[in-house]
Amino acid sequence: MRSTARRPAPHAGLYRRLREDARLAETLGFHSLWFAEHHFWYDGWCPAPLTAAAYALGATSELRVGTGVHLLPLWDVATERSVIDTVIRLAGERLELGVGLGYRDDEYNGLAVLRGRRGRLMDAALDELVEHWSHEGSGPPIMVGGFSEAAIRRAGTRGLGIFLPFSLSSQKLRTTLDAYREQLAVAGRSPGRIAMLKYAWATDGSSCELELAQRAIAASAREYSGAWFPLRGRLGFNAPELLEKQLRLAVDNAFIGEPQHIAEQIAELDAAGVDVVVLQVTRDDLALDHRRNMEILAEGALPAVQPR
Amino acid sequence: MRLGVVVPIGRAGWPEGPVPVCREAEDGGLDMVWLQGDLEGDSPAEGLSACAYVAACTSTIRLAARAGVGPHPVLIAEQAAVVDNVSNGRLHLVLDGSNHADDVLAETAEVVLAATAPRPFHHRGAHWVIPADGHGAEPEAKLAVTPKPAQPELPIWLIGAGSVEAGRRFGLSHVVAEDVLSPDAAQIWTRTEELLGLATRRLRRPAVRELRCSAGAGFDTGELTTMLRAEADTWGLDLVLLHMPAGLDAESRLHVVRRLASLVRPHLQMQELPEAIRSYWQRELGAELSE
Repeated sequence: MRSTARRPAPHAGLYRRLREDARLAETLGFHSLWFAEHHFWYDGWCPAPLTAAAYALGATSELRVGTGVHLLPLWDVATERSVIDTVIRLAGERLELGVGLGYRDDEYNGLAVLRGRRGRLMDAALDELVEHWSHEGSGPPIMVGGFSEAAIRRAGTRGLGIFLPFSLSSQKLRTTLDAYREQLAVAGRSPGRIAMLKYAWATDGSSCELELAQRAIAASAREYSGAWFPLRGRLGFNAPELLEKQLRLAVDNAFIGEPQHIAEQIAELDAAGVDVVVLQVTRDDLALDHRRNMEILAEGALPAVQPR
Repeated sequence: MRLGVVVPIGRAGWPEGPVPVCREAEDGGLDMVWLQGDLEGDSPAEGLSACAYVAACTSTIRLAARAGVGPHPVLIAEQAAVVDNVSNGRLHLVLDGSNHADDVLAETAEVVLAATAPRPFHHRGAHWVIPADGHGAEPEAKLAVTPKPAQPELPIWLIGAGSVEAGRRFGLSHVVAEDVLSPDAAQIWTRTEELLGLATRRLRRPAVRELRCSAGAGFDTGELTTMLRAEADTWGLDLVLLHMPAGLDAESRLHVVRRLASLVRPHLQMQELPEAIRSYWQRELGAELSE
């Protein structure tokens, strides 16, 4: 729900579109719809993904709705716990909770949270949530975002799921999942949900559409990679060669091609052990028709990857 | 006078959820539904997330979210802005100072006002410093909270500890709570008029009132109307949120809303209606909508 320089739009209109998109995702047979979180940016990136999730749940009846990811250390965990309980009470058990640390200093400064404490805050928050739901009813599936050793340990030792970024190569995915399973084994826990984010764009297979999709995905990643990512201590826009490398990573790891091809790529993730592939079919600054993309993916790729 | 109903959504909420009553209230032309969590619990953001949920199932009725203070006010402002956008500008944010020292509500209101206004801001108060002392390469001196609410001026009301004083200080309405009686409300508003003068006119004068039902969904619509009119005359009550008693079933709650829409609301739209039409309504609709 971003009103960007590339695609300006009224926020109320973007959220109305969200309601239609959620209903479309449900009708097309998608498993779930996911919200990211960022704060204090000119485009109005949704800072309250659980609030947006409550809205999407209110608009649908079967679709699962998740946070991918909710920056838990920035929030008061007791409040979030009660919000989640309320949302589940209203919507049934359709909520998925991906949590992450975030990385922007301005977000930590804005909310007076010491960035250096974010790992400890996350640990304490996860312990509190797990403890609460072990006593009182069922909470949502929890997935810990990231693939660092600390993130994998955080998830594995508690038997929580993981939420992996789009940038992992298949080699890195394998080693990450191995490390996760090792942590689970040491802790004597069974695995949680394994989710992975992927840019996905269905094309007719022509090189012209491929190029268009690659350009659009690079453009959509360029703005926040350039303005937010510290690349070796510099903002991406101040380190153009590193920024280009970062964008290459987004494009190279994206699922672009005919639906059948995308289905095969999803099947590979499935075989590796990924439970939920979160397809990034829309970004507000992506100048392609995301609904058409959803329809093509649903028709061409969904039947091959899930028994519905 | 405008008319709305209080809809509980916490653990003590209704088993059918808030949506049926909210839709009935919308269909019947009531003005507002007021969503609140368990007031005893530590559940400040329940009202806001419930409003987001209800926003997807309604289209015109105004949504009041009772939000307890305590959490970082910027987070409250952000959630309120999202709810205002998903509802296309239907949110009234009600900040509740209960369970906190008076100054927490005042400082929360101050920050939420700044955070929902269109300019970046900074704030140094007893409870919060925004932005906090910076980390990172280029820390920002002022904070811009985004997105902005859909409404250019998000309506913010105050209730609970410190609400009267903070309301006067920031020019915000305080909500007369259920346990504040009409003569006390009159005193409060008289004093507010003395302090704010003509500026008081831009403030709505809302109150939460208990709806007393006899068996089933029965209540005396004439008595309710008379009571509300009396409060309007005494201290200017202009928007009442009615709190239904516990113990009604889902169908009775809908019936209460239908009776409010047909048998109470029309009486509150003018200072006086001809006796003839009142008896006509009583004959025609009273029987139809009897419990």
